[in-house]
Amino acid sequence: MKHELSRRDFVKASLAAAAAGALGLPVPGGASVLGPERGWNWDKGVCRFCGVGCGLRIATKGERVVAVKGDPDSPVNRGLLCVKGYANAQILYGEDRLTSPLLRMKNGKFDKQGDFVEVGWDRAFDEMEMQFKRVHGDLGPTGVGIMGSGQYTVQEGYASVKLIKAGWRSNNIDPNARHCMASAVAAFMQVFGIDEPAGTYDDIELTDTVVLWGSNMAEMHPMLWARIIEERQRRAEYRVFNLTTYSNRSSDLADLEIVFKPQTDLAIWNYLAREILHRDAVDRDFVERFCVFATGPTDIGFGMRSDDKFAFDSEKDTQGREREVVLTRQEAIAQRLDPEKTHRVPQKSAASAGKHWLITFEELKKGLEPYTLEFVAELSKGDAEESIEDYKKKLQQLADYYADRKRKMVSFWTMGFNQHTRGTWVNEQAYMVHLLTGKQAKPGNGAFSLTGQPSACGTAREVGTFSHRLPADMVVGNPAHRERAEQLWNLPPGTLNPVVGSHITKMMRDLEDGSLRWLWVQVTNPFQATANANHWIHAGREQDNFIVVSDVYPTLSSKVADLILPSAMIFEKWGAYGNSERRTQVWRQQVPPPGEARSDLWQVMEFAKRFKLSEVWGRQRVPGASAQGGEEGFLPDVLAKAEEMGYSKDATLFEVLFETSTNKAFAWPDPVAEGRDNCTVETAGIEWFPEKALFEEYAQFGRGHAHDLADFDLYYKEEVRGLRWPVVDGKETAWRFNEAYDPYVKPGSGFDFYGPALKALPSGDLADIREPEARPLAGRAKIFFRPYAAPAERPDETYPMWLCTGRVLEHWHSGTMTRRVPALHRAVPAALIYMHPKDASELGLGSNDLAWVESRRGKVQARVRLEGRNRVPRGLIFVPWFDEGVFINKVTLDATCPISKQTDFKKCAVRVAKA
Amino acid sequence: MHLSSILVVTDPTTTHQCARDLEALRGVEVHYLYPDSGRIIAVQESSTSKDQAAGLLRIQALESVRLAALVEHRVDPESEIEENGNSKG
Repeated sequence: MKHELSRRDFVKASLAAAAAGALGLPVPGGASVLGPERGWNWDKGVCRFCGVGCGLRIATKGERVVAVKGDPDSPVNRGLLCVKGYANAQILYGEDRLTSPLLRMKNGKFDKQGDFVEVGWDRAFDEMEMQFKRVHGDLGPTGVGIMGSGQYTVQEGYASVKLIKAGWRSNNIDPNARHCMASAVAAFMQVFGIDEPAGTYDDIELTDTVVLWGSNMAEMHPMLWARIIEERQRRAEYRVFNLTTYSNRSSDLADLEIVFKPQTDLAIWNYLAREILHRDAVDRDFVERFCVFATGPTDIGFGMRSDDKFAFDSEKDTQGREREVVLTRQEAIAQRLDPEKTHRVPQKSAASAGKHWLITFEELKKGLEPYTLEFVAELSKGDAEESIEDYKKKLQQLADYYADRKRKMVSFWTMGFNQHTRGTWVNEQAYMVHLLTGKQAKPGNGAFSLTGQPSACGTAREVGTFSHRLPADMVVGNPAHRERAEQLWNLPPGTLNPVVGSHITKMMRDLEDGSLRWLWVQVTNPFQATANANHWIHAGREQDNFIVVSDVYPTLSSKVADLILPSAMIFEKWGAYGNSERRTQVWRQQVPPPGEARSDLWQVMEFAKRFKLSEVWGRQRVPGASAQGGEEGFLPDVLAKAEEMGYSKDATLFEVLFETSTNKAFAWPDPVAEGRDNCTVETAGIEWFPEKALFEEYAQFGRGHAHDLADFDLYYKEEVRGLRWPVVDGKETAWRFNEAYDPYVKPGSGFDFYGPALKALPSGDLADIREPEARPLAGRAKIFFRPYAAPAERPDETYPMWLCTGRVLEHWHSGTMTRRVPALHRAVPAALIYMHPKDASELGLGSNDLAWVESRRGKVQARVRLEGRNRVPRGLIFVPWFDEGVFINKVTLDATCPISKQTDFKKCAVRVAKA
Repeated sequence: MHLSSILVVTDPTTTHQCARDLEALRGVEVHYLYPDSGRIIAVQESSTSKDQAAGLLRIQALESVRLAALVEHRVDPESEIEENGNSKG
């Protein structure tokens, strides 16, 4: 025993010394050193969870992960991990891992009302194929769809996009990332003409001031928060601001917390911009050389259905605002209208919400004029218990910092901005202030959108797993983009479908109205994650459709499914992720998947074998296709052209899309494997390396187009810890659009906003276009004026409180994985209603009491929490959404930003009552 | 046996108080203190990996703690442990 204790003490001492050494801290008296562990293999990897993209070192022994540590050489997390770091290994070993396909059956046959029965992969694919062909025959390509993910590996997302867009000629693929950062994408495309941030995480150390807007970074991006804490402790002049609708963990360190009313961030930004103009704090040289001014229509609706055919009676009033809005008094003031009059505004521009035009600086100034300190403070103050004078002082202080020419500023945001019925606008407003002050695309200066998922950037956005996108920012609606994709994919001209598909929320609506009847859910849990869920659960379970869910654990979506396919996860397969700062990182397979679980890449390629070209490349019915110049309502038959290109009509989509001669040239085994296995290769029985072949094929889209990825092998070099694209001549790019760092910037220009989607625009005033002739932008970013607009639904007498939803540190998204880690589950076993004590008292509620939360759409029960880390103001409750047992998305509203189609999960009206 | 090394960051003025708070937690040992920067290196021991993440959250919840971050989590290489019904060693 004594020997055992001393040996364990030695191990602990060694671990502590290794930790100090890894973090660059001195070890007094020298370190105990533990020798290499017998039989352990260490390799590099990347965390499975949030969008920060922390580097890992993973140790395996035999076929099991035995240790995980923060990679001390990772420039992202510098040797540290948050609590989710533990989950990267534990999550592989949950007791209820899915290890066999499960099909709903009765009497040996598929039956939608049957129970799940274990079946083999062949039987699973037989049913899936038969159901696909039935629906495809009835409805054509628009009747089928894929819901994808910001957790797809780069290669998985690419394979799915290629199968559905090039193979099935459908654009109905959309990721859960639509719920996460679509508003950021839309704003990037409108302001800069190219997606993803100009800056990098290095800005945290290079700036003087960090402003969080709708981003509880302390809990959601803890390793970036660790870097902010480090700077805050090191530099007396470093400042942290937290703008939020409720006090949270990020408020604890912040020098200044501003609690504002939901949706009024739109007004606060305009106050800041107005102050910058009035204080003459505009960086005139930067603005004149590198920026233009723009605006767009305000009558754009809220992204809801345009009619109430499927609405519950109780939701018809909210639904009606999609067609006509009666402006609030404050909206009227904010839009320079007479507040004493009633303004009924038909939402005429809902279908063209992204349209915009150039305006002058004088028009911008006119638009900002109503946003005085008095008006904005009155409108936006979120805490009833704070005095208006104190609140005004805070707003002024915030303006002092943004307007200070000597001060470097970084504004970070996540879901508070993006999940917003004016999400695109509020993103654009952040750029407005940063561009006006010249604090953009410079070290330590910039507006920076953070993502929530590990490859929302690397896969969902860059690969383009959206209903409107193709790889490298291209879109299906652009004939030149389709032509380029057809060339790179070696498709007959005219193969790609020009009609934008359904975004993820619309796919749910399509299920409900029967226009989509075959759905494959990959690496996501949409039936828990989509707002207004009562509609979609009913549609999925009760109507004539076939739903396939590929996942690693049972989820709420798998309960809705007709067929469940067991997937391999993270270190059971090869993969690559791209994080929020454009850093692409890779890993090798470390351990085999359990049972019959297979990689998602294998599933896509294997299912592609079930389709001959003759079944999918003939004339296909696609409503709306006529608008693009083809036969009305149809995609053309491209089989004859395919035969001219050397394809047989009997060739399978696997042969044409995946097992191409080019791809087969990437032989397996490959030197980068260093002896490790590849479950995709083994189960497919192939002798080529699909993860490498597809990565290189995909990379062709971005190389030379400012999205350059490096060669696959470079990422696997031991000394490389990911690279930030564009990677040109082996060198990554830190600050984009800045000549000192970005090789795409025109020499001698200083800054160059070169995004290819910045097209020539007509000109006008704040109300409309007045000069239709389009003027080129010549490498200039757009400073948008966007007004305050009230949300789709506000508290009223019947539903008097705001509901805000979000995540908690211990559970990630729908909790599918983290809830299987018992310690995380025990720490936060159920979602709680965070509520102000006075509100609770008025309702007769105490802490831990059970209460109903009810909206026009549904209701749930949960326990009340009056203290703790989320301290909400009066009139607002916060309920996290990880808990299937507190299915809060039955309550939320499926209104979206009309431009980005991203749902606003942060605000709807509810009532709370004792259960 | 599962072991984690953990970095704790506190206000430099509360480094020693924070270390005492940590030592009061079961299974936690403080190994190094850096009062100039408010940093502490601790090691957490538990019989299963299930308790490791909960332990880190417990540390994070201490009043004196600004940040608690995992550095390394490992199975003691000479321990035979039982986890989730699977044996390994």
